[in-house]
Amino acid sequence: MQIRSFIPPYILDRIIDHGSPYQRGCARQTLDHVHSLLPNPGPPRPTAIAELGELRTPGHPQRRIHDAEQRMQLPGIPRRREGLPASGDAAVDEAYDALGATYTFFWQVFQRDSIDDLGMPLIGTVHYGQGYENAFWNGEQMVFGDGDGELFQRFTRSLDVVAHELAHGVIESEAGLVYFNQPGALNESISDVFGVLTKQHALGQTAAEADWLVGAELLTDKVSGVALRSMANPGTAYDDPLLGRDPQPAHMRDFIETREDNGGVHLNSGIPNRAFYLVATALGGYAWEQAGRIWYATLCDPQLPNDADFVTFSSATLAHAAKLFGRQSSQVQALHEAWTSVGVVPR
Amino acid sequence: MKMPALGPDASLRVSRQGGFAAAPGLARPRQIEFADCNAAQRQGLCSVLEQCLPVASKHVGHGDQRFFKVEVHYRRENDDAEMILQIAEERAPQELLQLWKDGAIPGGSP
Repeated sequence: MQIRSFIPPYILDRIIDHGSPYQRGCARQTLDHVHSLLPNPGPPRPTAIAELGELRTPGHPQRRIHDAEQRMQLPGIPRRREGLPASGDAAVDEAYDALGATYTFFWQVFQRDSIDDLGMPLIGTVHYGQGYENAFWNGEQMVFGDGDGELFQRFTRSLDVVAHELAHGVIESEAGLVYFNQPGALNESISDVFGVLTKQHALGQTAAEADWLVGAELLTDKVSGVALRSMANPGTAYDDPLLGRDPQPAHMRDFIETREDNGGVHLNSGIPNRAFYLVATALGGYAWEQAGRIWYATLCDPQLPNDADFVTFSSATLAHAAKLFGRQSSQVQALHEAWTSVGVVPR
Repeated sequence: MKMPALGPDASLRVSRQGGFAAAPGLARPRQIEFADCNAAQRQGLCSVLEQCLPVASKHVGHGDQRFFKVEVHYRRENDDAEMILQIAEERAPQELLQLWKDGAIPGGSP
């Protein structure tokens, strides 16, 4: 379906750049709305491999790890199927183990059967590209580069990174948050939340014991930094001559208005990230048992619009906290304090 | 989208965006002023842009996928104008990749 709007988005872009403050405000609002109407990728599409079909095995993942052999063709050559012993290739085996840990987390904590809750096979490709310094979810599968060796090591080293990519698939299956501006930052933040929760679950860590870092195992020792993001203290993960300085804001007063990075989806995610950290540490214990349950229930709420902004999302988390723990509960109170601490005031 | 007429007052900026590790230092924006280029180089730059047009899309970057952002600033009827193209990394023409990576302009260096 072709989306038509009276004022084309590129004109709105021009107004934002050159118009009066009032015009800019109106144009930005309109452009946000136009983008909210743009189609989502939708729930994950089964790959040709997935379409081969297998009987569902609830409680047990169906993993398929492929090797791109430094090329950029997906999915690549099959290297390890479910149940086969370790291959001896570190990236293959890390991806296999990390996808297994992520499946276990979602199954044991939320009784969710894979990405689509229908037992979708977990397809991962490693050794993608040459010195490729990224990991991503392409709507069908997860993909991991080996890193350039200078700044980044292979992306399968961090369990929270692998889980973050799988969580993108879960988000597309549920809320389908538009990957732009605030809903896009929520999309990124929720992936970080379930990424770190998977790691904490695998390590048996409480909220107080966890480091709340994302991608701590990726950076080489040449980089001045501890990780790619810090949920506890956004904006402090790295400060390096080559990588630059961690630009994440931790509070709405520092919210970044930008046309870069799909409207700063990897930047402003620092704000809801810190809100989650604050509520999880305030409640104590295992973060997935209370804060995690609230976030998961909100993500799976059909009432949550795909263009939800921070306020809408925060309000929804409060509604679910009230439903799960009671309107006068300490969980609701801690959650409200966490959101207001980062400058997001729920309705 | 059609290719606008680009004169010597045009400029072009290419950056790589998105990705799980969307750090500021990885965008490596490259700015090229048409005024610094000879006719063959300007033709080469226009040729790169023409290759980008059919593969450009608004829907890029989902799930940490990287993409290239090409911003062209130019004059149209005595007014400033801009054209923005976003190209998914796996669909990017090789010439765009080389332009971003090495500043290699088809037709020679500026």
